[in-house]
Amino acid sequence: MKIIHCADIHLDSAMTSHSDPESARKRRGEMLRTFERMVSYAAREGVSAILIAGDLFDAPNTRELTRNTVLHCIASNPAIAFFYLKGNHDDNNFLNGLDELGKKPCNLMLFGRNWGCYECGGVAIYGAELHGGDTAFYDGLQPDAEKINIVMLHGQISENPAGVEHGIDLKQLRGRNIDYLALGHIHVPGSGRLDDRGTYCYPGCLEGRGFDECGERGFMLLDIDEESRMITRTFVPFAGRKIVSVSADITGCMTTQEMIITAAEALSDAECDASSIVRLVLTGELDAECEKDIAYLTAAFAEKYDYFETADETRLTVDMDDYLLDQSLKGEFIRTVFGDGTLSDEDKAVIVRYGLRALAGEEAD
Amino acid sequence: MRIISCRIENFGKLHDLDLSFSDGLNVFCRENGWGKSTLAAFIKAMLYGLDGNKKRDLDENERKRFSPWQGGVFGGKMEFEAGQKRYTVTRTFGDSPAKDTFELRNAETNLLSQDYSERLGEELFKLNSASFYRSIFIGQSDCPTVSTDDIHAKIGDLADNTGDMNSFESADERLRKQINALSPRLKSGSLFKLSEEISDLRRRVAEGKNLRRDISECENKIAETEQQKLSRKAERSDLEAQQTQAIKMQELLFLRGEWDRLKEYRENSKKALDEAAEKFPSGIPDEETVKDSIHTAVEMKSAESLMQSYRLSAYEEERLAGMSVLSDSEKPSPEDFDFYFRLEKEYRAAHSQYEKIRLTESETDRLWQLSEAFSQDKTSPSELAAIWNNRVSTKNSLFSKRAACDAIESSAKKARNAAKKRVVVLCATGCVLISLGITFFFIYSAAWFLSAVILGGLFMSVGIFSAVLIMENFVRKPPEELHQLRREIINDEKFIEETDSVIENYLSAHGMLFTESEADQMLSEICREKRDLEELSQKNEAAEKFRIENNLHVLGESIMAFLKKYGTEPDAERLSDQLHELKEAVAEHELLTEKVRQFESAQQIYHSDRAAIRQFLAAYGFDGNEDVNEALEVLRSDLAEYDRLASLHSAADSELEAFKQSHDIDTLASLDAESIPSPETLGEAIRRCSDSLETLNGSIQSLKQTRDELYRQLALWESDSSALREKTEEQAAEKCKYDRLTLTRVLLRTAKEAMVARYVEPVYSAFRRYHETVTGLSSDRYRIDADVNLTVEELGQQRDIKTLSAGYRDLAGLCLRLGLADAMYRDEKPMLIMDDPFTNLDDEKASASKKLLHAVSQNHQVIYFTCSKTRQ
Repeated sequence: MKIIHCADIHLDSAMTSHSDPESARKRRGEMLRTFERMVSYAAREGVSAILIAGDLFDAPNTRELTRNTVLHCIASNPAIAFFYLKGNHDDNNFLNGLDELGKKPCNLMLFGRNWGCYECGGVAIYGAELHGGDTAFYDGLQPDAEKINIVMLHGQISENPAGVEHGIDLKQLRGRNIDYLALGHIHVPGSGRLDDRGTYCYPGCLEGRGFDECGERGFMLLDIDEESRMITRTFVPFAGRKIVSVSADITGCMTTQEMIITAAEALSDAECDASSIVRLVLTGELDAECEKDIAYLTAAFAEKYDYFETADETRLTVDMDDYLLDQSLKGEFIRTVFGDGTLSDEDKAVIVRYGLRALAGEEAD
Repeated sequence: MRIISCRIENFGKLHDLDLSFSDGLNVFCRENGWGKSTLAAFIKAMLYGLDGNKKRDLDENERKRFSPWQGGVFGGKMEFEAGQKRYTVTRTFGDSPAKDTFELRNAETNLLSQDYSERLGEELFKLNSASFYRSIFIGQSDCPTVSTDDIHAKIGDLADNTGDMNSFESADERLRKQINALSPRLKSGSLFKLSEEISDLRRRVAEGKNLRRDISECENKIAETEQQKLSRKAERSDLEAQQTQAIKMQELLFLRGEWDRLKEYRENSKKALDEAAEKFPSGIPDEETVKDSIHTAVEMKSAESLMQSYRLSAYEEERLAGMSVLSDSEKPSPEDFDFYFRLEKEYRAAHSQYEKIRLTESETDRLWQLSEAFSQDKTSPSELAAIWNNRVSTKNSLFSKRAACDAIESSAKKARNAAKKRVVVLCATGCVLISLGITFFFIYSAAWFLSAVILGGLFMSVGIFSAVLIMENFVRKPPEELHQLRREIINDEKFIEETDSVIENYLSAHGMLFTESEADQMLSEICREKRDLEELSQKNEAAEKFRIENNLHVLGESIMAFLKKYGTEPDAERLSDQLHELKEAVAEHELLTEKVRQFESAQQIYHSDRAAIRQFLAAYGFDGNEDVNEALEVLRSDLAEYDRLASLHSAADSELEAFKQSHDIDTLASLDAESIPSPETLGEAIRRCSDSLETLNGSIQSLKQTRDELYRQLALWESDSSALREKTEEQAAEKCKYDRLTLTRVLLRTAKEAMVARYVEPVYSAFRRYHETVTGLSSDRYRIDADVNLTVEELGQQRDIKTLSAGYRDLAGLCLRLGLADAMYRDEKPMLIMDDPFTNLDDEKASASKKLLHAVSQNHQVIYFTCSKTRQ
């Protein structure tokens, strides 16, 4: 029996942090299509159930297109059971009136604030919306030791969840006959052992949404042998686009062209292609008198990727020894700047660069 | 650097002027208008070229200002010493800088030198022309100076190093522009604009902060309305079910009414049937019998009608009596008429054709005449015409043959005469030769004799032989051709004579008189008549043949015999009409005979039918003496009505029985009409429900539109929020940059001032030295700032030297310039050019200024122009 465990899909996310409105709209569409692709994958691979461990949607205000598409995906695949546990981002917007209006697909299983359980083949699937997290809450969970038990929760696991927002008390979950703790909330894939019997796992988000979500993204595919009660877990990279942050140390470069060459080497080493969303982080130390045009450098790579931006985190350096005996205005200026005790080192370096560029007939960058 | 000499070709008012300069002081004391300022400008032009090329003002545009008054080469040359070398610089000036020339030669070797370029002044003094005018060139009323970057650089001895001091002003200006471009206070500053944009974005973001809540409320309202819609739909479904039931009950009520109506209808039909039966006292007759009697009556009526139709009129009876011949004999059949009509048609067609092809009377006469005329002919006229034509051509050829004969004879005669001439010549030559041989025999020798005799004999022999040949050919043997021609001529003449005789006899037989000229025409006329005879004979034969072949005579007689047989006297011209008349008479006879037969038949039927009907009516109680037709009609009508009523009664009975079988009569009987709800009332309630649903749909639609609009606003709000974050970050970055640039500008200026301060001291020392030399007073109250501005302390405050009197101001300015020159050029001192700078000085100071000049000229070459001997 195959089960997909996914979470934190965040459909209809605003996506405005790194995109213009048009790109954000396009990216929202891509995320919705990735969800559709995942359901198609499940149908193709004979998956029996899809566990959505919270944050299917990003905000309470979900667009009609998104709601209808998700509903269609579920209703048009009656052979797949969808287990949907609401996360901290989810709201009732999607579920409102589904039952009353008779639109709720029979293969959509929901969980409330109290523990619910569904039988799926030989597997028992438990879930509850996290609230409070006191002992009584966990005591409500009593899986049968003879069954294969999967428990869905959305929150941050912790050995000591007091003070942790959406904290899940791992200690309370140990020894409760859990074979697989299907978690959501953390966007980076991760897993660990829960107790002697079970493991816990975050599948991460289905698609990265920003440069804080770089790397492979996808879902967990569980292959359950009901006889041996073995659960084999495989991470399936599934994101439509890869978000990559590449660092390039351009220390010593004196011209933009030298920086482009160094950056190109760093980008060629990174696993990104034309569909990738790429951030180039320039690091290292540059001479205050170097020639550097970040806009030109960005333009040199912009067409190679779906999205490309440059973050300049370089530091400027000035070798005071070179100017100690310099009788020129430049020498006098640098000595004056560095003699100003009110300035930070960074300010000094930048001011020296501005001054030198002005004397060289260049604009300050 | 010093100037040694110069030659002015043409420069302003100066031309063809050579001047030499010595070391130290060079005084040029000339009257006003001599051209002292022009000379000073010439020296500057030799060093820097001409300035102000694009200026319109004559004072500023040196090219226009110093263009030669008298024309000629514009320019000159100047010899100078620099760096221990002497050079000659030659410049000429054209209409534009592009036409200017520059040449620098080593004055000692006269070779071209590359030591300096066109920018000679800059390279010698490290000053541009503006700085030159403000330092080592001191003009009238121009003693105070303003330092420039070049001057600062030169003073600081930096010009040869990095040049960055020269860039201070441009760097400062660039920083100022960048700071202004970023400025938060200027409207054009990006920080100012950003601030406005951020304020606007903050306002919009604040306005839209409740959008998510509004959307949620809207979604909830949509859900509630959807719920109401569902309730309303259920209510409508219930009403629709009630309406369906009510309609069913209404249908049952209708069926009960139908049952009552069927029962009433059956009773009525029974009553009508009984009344109809009372019309038949002796029983209801069989329908078939009545039908037979009616049929008989119809037949009787028909027979009566036929009798009326076939009864003969008096005229017809008379006509029938007049056709006894047809009654007695066998009448001709239609086939007979067809045969004789066809026969008559053939006869008429053949007769008509015969009339067309037979000879007319005139043609018959002509045929007889021509037959008579040619009855005695043995030879055909066409053969005679051919003989005559042969005779004519023979006579025509006779003339040519005679001419040919004459020509041959004439030719033979000419040939004979020529041959005779040749014979005579040959014989004469032979005689002469023989005579000469004889003569030579006696004069010379026998050999000569023999030769001449042989040769003469030879000639004579040839001549004699030729004569013999001519005779043989022309006398004994006349030409065969000539002989032949003569024979032909004789034969032709004989043929012509015989032919004329034959033709003359032939024409005479046909009554014509022969003449050679008309014989041809006459023969043609006879030939034509012969052809007419042949044509008429052929036509006559063809007509006769046609008549015989078509049996015209037999046909006519056969038709006429037929007509005679049936009492018609035939007329050959009206055979067809007579045949038709006979045919019509036969047809009329047949018609009348048939009418008689039909009448008799109908009369028999009529009497028989009338008797049968009277018997039938009497059997059913009707009076047989009445009009049988009318009685039968009444009987038939009553019987039909009885049958119709019986049928209706039977149908009503069946319908009632069928209704009973197909419906629950007991249920229908138990229906209570009062308890059934009205479908219309229920329909009204359903309509109200539908209207309500419509309203709810509209509300949902409207709410969805509102929600969509809110989503659109939310998208904008999110975009604005994002933009606000970005703009705020951008503002922080630009503010940081703005602060740093401002600080950069301040620190750069501080550095520049600190640097300048270090070289101001030498200038100040030199100034003090010169000033004290001139005035003999302390110069402590004068100060020089970092920008090399001279100030004077007055009443405890540093003031601009403009506050001084003109004389002191010029003196102080002059001393400052000299101080600058000393400070700027520490090694090789440049020449100083002074264009009457002491005009504002009083006598005492003017005297002091002379001392100053002498002092300066110890270290500098001084070229001093003045117009006053007192200042000389």
